[in-house]
Amino acid sequence: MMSRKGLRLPLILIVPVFAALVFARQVYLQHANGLSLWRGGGMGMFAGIGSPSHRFLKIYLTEGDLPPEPVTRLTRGQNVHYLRAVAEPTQANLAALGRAVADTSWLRRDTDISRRMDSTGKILGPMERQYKVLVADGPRAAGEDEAVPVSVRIEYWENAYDPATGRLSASLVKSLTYRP
Amino acid sequence: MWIADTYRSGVGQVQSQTTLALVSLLMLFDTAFLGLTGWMFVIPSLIFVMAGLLHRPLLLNGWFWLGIAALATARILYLWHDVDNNGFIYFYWLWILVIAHYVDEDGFKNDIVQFNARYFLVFIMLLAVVRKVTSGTYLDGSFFELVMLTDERFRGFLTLFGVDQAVLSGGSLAIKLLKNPYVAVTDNTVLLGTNAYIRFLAKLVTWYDLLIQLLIGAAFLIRRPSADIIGHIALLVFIFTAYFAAPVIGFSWILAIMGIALAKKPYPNIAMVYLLSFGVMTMYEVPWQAWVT
Repeated sequence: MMSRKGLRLPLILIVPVFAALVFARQVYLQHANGLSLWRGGGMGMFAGIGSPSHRFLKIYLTEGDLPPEPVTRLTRGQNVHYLRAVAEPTQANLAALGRAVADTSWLRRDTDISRRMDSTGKILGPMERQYKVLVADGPRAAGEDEAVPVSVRIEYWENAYDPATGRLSASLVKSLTYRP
Repeated sequence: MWIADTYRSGVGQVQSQTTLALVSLLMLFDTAFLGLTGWMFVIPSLIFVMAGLLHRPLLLNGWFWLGIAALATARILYLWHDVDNNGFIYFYWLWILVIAHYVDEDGFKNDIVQFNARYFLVFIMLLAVVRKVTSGTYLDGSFFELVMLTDERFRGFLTLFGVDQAVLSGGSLAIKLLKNPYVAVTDNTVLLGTNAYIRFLAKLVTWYDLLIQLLIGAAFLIRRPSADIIGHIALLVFIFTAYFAAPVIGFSWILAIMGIALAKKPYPNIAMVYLLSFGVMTMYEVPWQAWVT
């Protein structure tokens, strides 16, 4: 048990000082690494558009000579990487997601769900090429990526809202191509 | 007479250290059920809650709180990308309780808890104001306008204020369309069905939220009894109104815990209202939004 007078002030202040340091760190990481305003203990929730719900990644897997296909059905472990990359889109976090996707074997399923739409939600027609749906099928076999080159392109997008026009727009902020 | 006796007994209870510990523990229960992901955090959290409820002396044991604080620390380190502000505030509060339980003198314990309750109420509110003013998308109302149009949690609240359901139903779908690689949206832009009334409501909520947080933070920063009373009233108004519109129950509870810690000795009646707010916040979780939408 502690009762010495010399420890009084440090014991009262240690948590507030630590919280202030965490806040300062969040502000730094927000500007240096794009950390979300809503994460990291920076008291920025409901302070502006910058929540993880207005950020997203588009992931495309290329295997050998096959065209790139979007990866949307992430495993639980890949989803953790996804959330980390969305919260703080550093090269390291994007690459970790790329590695997790590249290390997985994927089954391809034909679909006809690829569509073009206008800004009001009206369907304009099918896309020029119908993307396949990829479903995770366990870890990729060792050496498989040497036989069939694999690359994962990850695009980091952010939403912005223009109140004058009522338009919500997504912009590509950065992208990374991961090759094992 | 029994109402008066029950109330006096309640006032005595809310002033006790055990009650503060108990509501802090209940916060863990809420976090475990509503906010936590990962069995490695949910299961130990529930074990701590059960232990604390079944064996009350644990609530006054420093090792018990150290265990919970260590769990919260591990959660922040592993799930930092998924932890909201209230997760951080609760983490700080747990370490404050650990320190308070490890000192000898009751007076020193109270100093630690009360200083930190005041500090964090000022910290949360004034820093939130700073972040709002500097974010670039808050003061013009665009943030809350976008939230109202796309966040499902606000739909019931907006319906009560007469906003047409048809306007609201497309917002969250619009976000999904933009994110969907199987949909190519022209210019990656969708039109949200906003109108002058929604814009007005958004500006109203924008300034209400900013000004009441500024009032709370400034009142508690001044450290005078009259300012403290204003701070407590404003905080209670904030808790009862803000979390009706957006039921982020965890944050309302942590604010109420700090309010109790600060008010329980000088203003026990105010502390009782904070305690009452726990029950009211829980009622806000009733799916009333589904009934009005």
